[in-house]
Amino acid sequence: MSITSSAAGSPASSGKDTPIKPVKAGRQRDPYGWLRYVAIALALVFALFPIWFIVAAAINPAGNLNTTQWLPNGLSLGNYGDLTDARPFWSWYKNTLIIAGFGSLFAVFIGVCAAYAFSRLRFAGRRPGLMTLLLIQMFPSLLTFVALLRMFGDLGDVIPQIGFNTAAGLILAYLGGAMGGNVWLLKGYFDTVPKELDEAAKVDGASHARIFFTITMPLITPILVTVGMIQFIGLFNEFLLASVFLRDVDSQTLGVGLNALLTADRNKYFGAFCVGAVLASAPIVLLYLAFQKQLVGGLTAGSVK
Amino acid sequence: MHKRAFSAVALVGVSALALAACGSGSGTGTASSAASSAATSAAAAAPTTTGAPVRDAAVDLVIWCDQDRKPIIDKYAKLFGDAQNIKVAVQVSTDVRKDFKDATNAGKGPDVIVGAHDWLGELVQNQAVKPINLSADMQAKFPAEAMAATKFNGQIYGVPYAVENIGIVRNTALAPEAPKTFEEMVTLGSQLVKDGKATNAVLLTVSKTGDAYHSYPFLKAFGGGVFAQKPNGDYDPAQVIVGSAGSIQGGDQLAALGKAGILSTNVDGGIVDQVFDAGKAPYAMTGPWAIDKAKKAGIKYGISPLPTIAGKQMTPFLGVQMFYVSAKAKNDAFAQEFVTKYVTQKDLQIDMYNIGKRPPALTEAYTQVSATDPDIKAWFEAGKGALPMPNIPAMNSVWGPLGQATADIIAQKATAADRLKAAQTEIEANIKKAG
Amino acid sequence: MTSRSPWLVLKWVAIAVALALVLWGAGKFAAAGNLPMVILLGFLGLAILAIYATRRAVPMKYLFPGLVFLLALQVWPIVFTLMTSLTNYGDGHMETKEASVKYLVAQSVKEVPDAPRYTMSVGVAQGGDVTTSPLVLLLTDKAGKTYVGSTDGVKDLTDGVTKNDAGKITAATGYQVLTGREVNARSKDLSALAVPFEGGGIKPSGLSEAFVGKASLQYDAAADRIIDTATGKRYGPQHAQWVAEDGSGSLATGWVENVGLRNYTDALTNETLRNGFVKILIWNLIFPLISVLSTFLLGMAFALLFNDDRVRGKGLWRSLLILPYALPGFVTALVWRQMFNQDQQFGLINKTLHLNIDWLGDPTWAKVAILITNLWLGFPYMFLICTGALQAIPSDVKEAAKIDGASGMRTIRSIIMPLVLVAVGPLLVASYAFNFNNFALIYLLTSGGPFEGNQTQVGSTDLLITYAFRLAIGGVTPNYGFAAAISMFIFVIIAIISLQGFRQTARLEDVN
Repeated sequence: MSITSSAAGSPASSGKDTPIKPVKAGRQRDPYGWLRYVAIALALVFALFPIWFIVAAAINPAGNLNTTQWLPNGLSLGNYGDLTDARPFWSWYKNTLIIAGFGSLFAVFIGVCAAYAFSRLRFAGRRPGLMTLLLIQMFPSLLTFVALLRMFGDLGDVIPQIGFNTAAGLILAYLGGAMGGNVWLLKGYFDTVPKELDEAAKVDGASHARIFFTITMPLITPILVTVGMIQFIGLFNEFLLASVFLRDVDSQTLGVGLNALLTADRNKYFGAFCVGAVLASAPIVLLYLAFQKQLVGGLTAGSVK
Repeated sequence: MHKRAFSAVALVGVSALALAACGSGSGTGTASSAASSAATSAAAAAPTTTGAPVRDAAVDLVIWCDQDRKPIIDKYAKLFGDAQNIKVAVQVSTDVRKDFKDATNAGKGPDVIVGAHDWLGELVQNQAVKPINLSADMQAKFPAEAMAATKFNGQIYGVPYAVENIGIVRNTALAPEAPKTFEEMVTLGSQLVKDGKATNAVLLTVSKTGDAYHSYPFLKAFGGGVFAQKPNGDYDPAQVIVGSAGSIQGGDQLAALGKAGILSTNVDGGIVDQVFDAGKAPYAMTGPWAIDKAKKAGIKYGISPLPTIAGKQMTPFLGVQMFYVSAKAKNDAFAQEFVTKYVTQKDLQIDMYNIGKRPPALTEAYTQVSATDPDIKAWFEAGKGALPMPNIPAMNSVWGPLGQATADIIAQKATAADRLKAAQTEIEANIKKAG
Repeated sequence: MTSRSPWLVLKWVAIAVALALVLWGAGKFAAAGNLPMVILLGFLGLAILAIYATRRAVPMKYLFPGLVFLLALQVWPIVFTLMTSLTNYGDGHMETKEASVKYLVAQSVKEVPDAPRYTMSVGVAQGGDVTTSPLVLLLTDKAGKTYVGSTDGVKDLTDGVTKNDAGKITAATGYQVLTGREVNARSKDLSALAVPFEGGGIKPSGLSEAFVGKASLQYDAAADRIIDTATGKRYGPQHAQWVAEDGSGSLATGWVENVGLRNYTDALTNETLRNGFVKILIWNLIFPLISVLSTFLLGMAFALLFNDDRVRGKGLWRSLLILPYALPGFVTALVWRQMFNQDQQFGLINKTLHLNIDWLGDPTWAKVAILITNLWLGFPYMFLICTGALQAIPSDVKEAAKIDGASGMRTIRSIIMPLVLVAVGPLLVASYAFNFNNFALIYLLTSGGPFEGNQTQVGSTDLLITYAFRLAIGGVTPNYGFAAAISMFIFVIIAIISLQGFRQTARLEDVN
């Protein structure tokens, strides 16, 4: 909370003429500030009410989903016990954080490099390249999985360090999606950053790499955070590829572990699954919360310079 | 990203529908795609010179199972490992059936898997499992139906450790006596609903797309079903009996129950559990997997065999859970030894019962368990006379059309005769497509 | 210029490390005898040198890492799918014809009735190499009599035999008994070993038992027929399967073969495919369109709402708003499915609104239910990217608009939207494409249903991909070759639509 209010405070300080009608950020008149909060409350209710039923199933002793009853039949930590007693839930948690963390970090780096080239540099095949990139994402992935399975199987025979049952192999496999749509999003953002900023540096004699890393990158932190979050969430919940790569229970991720829980015996462990799903969503929310400062930083800060 | 987060979901959805394989890619290795297979064989030619894959490096036997059974199998794997002075790895797969098929085809499969008997035909079709040899004495230690379920083309492909089937689970607070007839259930249930003591008279998984597994007993009661049997007891894919007179009679019962509001397509598996565990229904037609939750919800329950309907005895499908040996097992001798010598042990079978709460397949183990656990005895009784679920590959073509047909009948969208005959035509066409 | 040297050092270290890795990998593949991979890695190494060690190809320096992964992990699977579409690869057709013969014959070994069973040890001749020399079976029958079996047949064994309690031979003169691990290491030899015996051959089972078995199937290579010796049936190759000559069916295991364009012609002439195609295509075009628009508008609205500097605690609210996206789609879709239950007892929506709509059983309402669910599932993604894109709009632009006297809505429409669309426009096309193939949503919510008219082929909410899946994989014996061919068709359709979409968004691009 303190992060956001301070971040919000600094640019708002200019509009100090009328404290009742704070004029800032686009909207001219805001006589009913409370209306905004009503809208926010409605938005949050819309986003969160279905999730309440998952929480209710998690604390219901039998672990059943019931979407017409707001309060569960009884309160129990039994499902949590089912999840953690015989299962290495916290190992899954740790593995997932590591894999999704590194995976999204690398993916953002690769994506931002490519986007820089597409936005700032001019070369033959730039537009067709961009088009192709997006077209590739559209291929129906009914069978692509089979190809990956074979490839990493063969690769792992020779270089076991990146074969099955390794986090490194899984992260590599994830990087296939590093370009994809990210590049478009990043490129779009680059396009909005005034070229004059890096051209000024070029006049100073700085190399393109130095301009990229020291001048352009800091200007685009909001979109880095955004793309990073999208990647992180995607990898955090990824299950198909991970279930092929990770067989040893202790090396599995939340996606794999929780899905294995779900398929273990019809819906016997649905309650435990819900506990896991709710607990698993915490890092995502916390991470986005932690990055709020970077989200509003970036260009605003840059353009001030 | 967006796509990935969601693709995780695809598989679960699909397997929940009991479909054969998943769209996101089942099976591997197009042997005919020249370029890649050249690479494969070259790589496979000398794998040991540079070190085997990580998971096999220090392991002499690899077993795949579901998450629930892993701790038990771990225990016996360790015993076996100590006895043989080897290392055994028990690994968990979220979808053993599909993963095993894929991985084995890519030469990366385990030596032993734990799974259901109805995967068998498909696994044989894909050269994934091999027969095991059990002496006649050993075979005699299991019920004949359980052994029959492990057979394909007369060969035994594994050792069973548990059997499962549906029965009637009743809430003894609402229905103290085990029902003898379905009509009795409907009468009592309807009365309870009228009195406000229950919301549903009888719970049966139907759902909008139908559930062939749970509806089958209605068809079977009148001599209908899915496939006719050959003289040797094998199911005959050339003789679909979904549209037979017996099946239609059963379908008429479903239609009547749907019309009376007893059965509804609004009730799916989750709702059966939800309502029963809330104590709001006297009867649920379900299986052993539902008991654990009912217990946790504090429901006092009783288990009894399926009743008669219109004077005819209903029988469920029998499911058998078993250990298979991979046809491509790298550690074939150990795999066979473990499956034939350890899985057949009473202790293992009893421990497996402790996790899954199904009747052990080994008669000796069953006798011991059923003496102390009335539930197990009740489940076993409920499975008496039940035929194994077909394990022939043609069954893949049945689940969808038959399930939907029963749902449509219950929803009064069509008459039983029309709908089941249409389903029969569809199933036959799908089987032919595969031929 | 002096500040450049640390960068230069870093660069060369990175190049050296990358090359070392490539070289190391190539070495490994060379040792494994995988020439194509060695060549591929060689090219990779050269490419790294050419791109990073020179001052040329500046764009490539930035694109190369992504490109490598793209080619290996996204382009190759597409090529693979294309190759698969030219085969009959699928269940029952996964390996070569030779493999199918071998498998079928091996699978047909049955125990000869009333033949003896033995307790078994595995050995080699004394002094032989345990890893290579011919295996013998050291057998004990029920009466305790001992034998040695080899490819030459069974002989009595008496000299120096010691047995354990189970009757298993632990030592015998002239033979070395193998340990379990040694036996296991020779599993292949063991299963190939046949000790001739009356009526069949003695076959090992596991590590300690042996039985007399006989294969009922035989392969006649000259005639290319599999013959069932028990029934006399002959099976000939036909459509990549062994089909009985008397028409009584086929053996379970077939083989994979090239079928040319047959999968494509099958798809084009498939009656069910043709019947359902237009209906499904129309819904398949509408569904992603509404989904993209609705999720984008809601996401954008929320992004604007929460982007206002006057909102206290907006970081926290923003973070909570992405929860629908953070939770596994499996469970959230399940929640929505239950909320849409027709029965007021189970379904929140009908209960709250006092309705009796058969949301998931009526063809029209099912579509509405899917759109609503997808709106909820998809808006956080749009919210995330719009929030990110909004940060690109400098506050002075908004200030300027304010000074100009533009109203709130006009500021949004004429200043904020165009700028946001520059960044997210192409993503809307990508999102369209994603939803075009949104298999999981449909399967979790309706499985393509409801199905009208006594059939289960064409569902009211089917997308091409769910339809294709049922046609080629789910509802029948899986045929991946056919599925691959349909994938290619779907790809062509979506590619054409997307390229059209691009023409539209292209105008938005490169505005500055």
